[in-house]
Amino acid sequence: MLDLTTYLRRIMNQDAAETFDQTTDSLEAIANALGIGPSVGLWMFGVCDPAMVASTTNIVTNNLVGLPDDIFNDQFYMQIIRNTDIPGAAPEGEIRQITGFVGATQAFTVNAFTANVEADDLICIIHESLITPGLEVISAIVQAIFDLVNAQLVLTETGGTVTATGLLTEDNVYINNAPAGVFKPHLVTIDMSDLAVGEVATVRVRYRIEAGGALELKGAPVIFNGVQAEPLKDIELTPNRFGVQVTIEATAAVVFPWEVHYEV
Amino acid sequence: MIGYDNREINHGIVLDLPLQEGVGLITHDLAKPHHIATLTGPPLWKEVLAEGIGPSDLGILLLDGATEYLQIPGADTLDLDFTGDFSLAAWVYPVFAAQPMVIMCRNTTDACGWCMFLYDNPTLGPLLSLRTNQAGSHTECYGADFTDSQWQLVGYSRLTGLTATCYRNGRPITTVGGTGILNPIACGAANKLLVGVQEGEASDFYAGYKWRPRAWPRQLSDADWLSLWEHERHWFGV
Repeated sequence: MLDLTTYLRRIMNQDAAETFDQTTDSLEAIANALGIGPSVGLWMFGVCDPAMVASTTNIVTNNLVGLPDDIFNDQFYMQIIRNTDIPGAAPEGEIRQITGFVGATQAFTVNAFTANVEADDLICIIHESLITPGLEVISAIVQAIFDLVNAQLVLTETGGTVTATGLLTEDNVYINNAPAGVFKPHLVTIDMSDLAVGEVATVRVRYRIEAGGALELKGAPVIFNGVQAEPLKDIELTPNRFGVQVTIEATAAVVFPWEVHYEV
Repeated sequence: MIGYDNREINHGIVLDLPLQEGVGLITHDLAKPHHIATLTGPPLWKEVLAEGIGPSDLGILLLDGATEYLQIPGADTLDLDFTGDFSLAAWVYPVFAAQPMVIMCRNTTDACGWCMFLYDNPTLGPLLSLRTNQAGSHTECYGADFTDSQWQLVGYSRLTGLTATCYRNGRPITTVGGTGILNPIACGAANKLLVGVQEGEASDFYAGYKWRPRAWPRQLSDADWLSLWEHERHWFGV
């Protein structure tokens, strides 16, 4: 049985023999002596333990002591409020449901974040009554929508000017030697206005259709001789994943402005 | 279909080098000026996944910090002669050395132009600085806590009202000296646009990987920066 009268006298610094000692007389110490754990709030701030192993599902804090096992299960959510190593990067801002908790080690089990939670990251624990029902689901849907938006190909254009090195040498007009993934080249347009009487230009298109393969010729080379009454020439291209190249071989010093459109 | 110029982030853009060639000694600009950058050294064409620094097959460049950089002739980059609002951005994976590392610049001396560079300051740690040059002087600001050997989206928005804001990973960060950044003076055809080295092309080489240096003659907003970050971070797994 605790002698609460003695505690109160020491809290009040009753006399020289009865002075306040924080380790035994603070309200927190008395609560601990009575076996009363810290209260569980509807919102709690947490710090990931410096010794925590990075994980998407197993998070260990160091400031939520004395709470009973499984107190948070299913009714509480964890949000990463700061990625300490890379502020702003995932999983910062993400919210996941808590499915397990071991009080002695402050070890949380949660539905998986999209990236590892790491030592010293800052978190908060939120009771479901404080957040929109299904917020985790909404968060996942928003992420999925964003992934779709990012996957949309964007019609893009660039161009330049090629000055021919000379016959027997192919100069690159347009090349994407190592695409990041599937993309959709549409059209290369070459301006042959500079091609004069007696001069010649040959256009070739090559594709790579497997990882590590060679750029292989597709279709017959197209040859243009002399002055072109309609100087803009279109070379149509097809979807590709591993590489595409359009070259021109022409009389030395002939200048060819060009433009390409592709979706990437 | 989504058009490049219909995306708000690309409005007015004057330099955008996505490094899609994957081979060769030149790289093309998606912005309307169609700048052509020459690879000097040259830097090596690489891919993120193959280098073990992210999940995608995105093409990037590796610069050695000693001799390698990109350049566009001064006469072709008059549209990068900012004298008011402008913004600069790039994805970088820097390997810090004792020297400053230029991300991109249009002159680095007290004469004209601007420069954005990283510097691992012995006291303050890794900084991203923006310098604008005036005749016989310059103004400079910086943001701190840039990380060695990690992908990060870095850049600056500079507003005509003398303010500049440093951005890291789509968010504004504390910008020391960011309230007194004077307008740069136009360089004309005398100075190249350099990516990865400072004026003179002999010092302050950038070491590490780099992707998609970009420039706008306007101030990108916080929302613009966040949009860039959210659209592109997946390439690097950050």
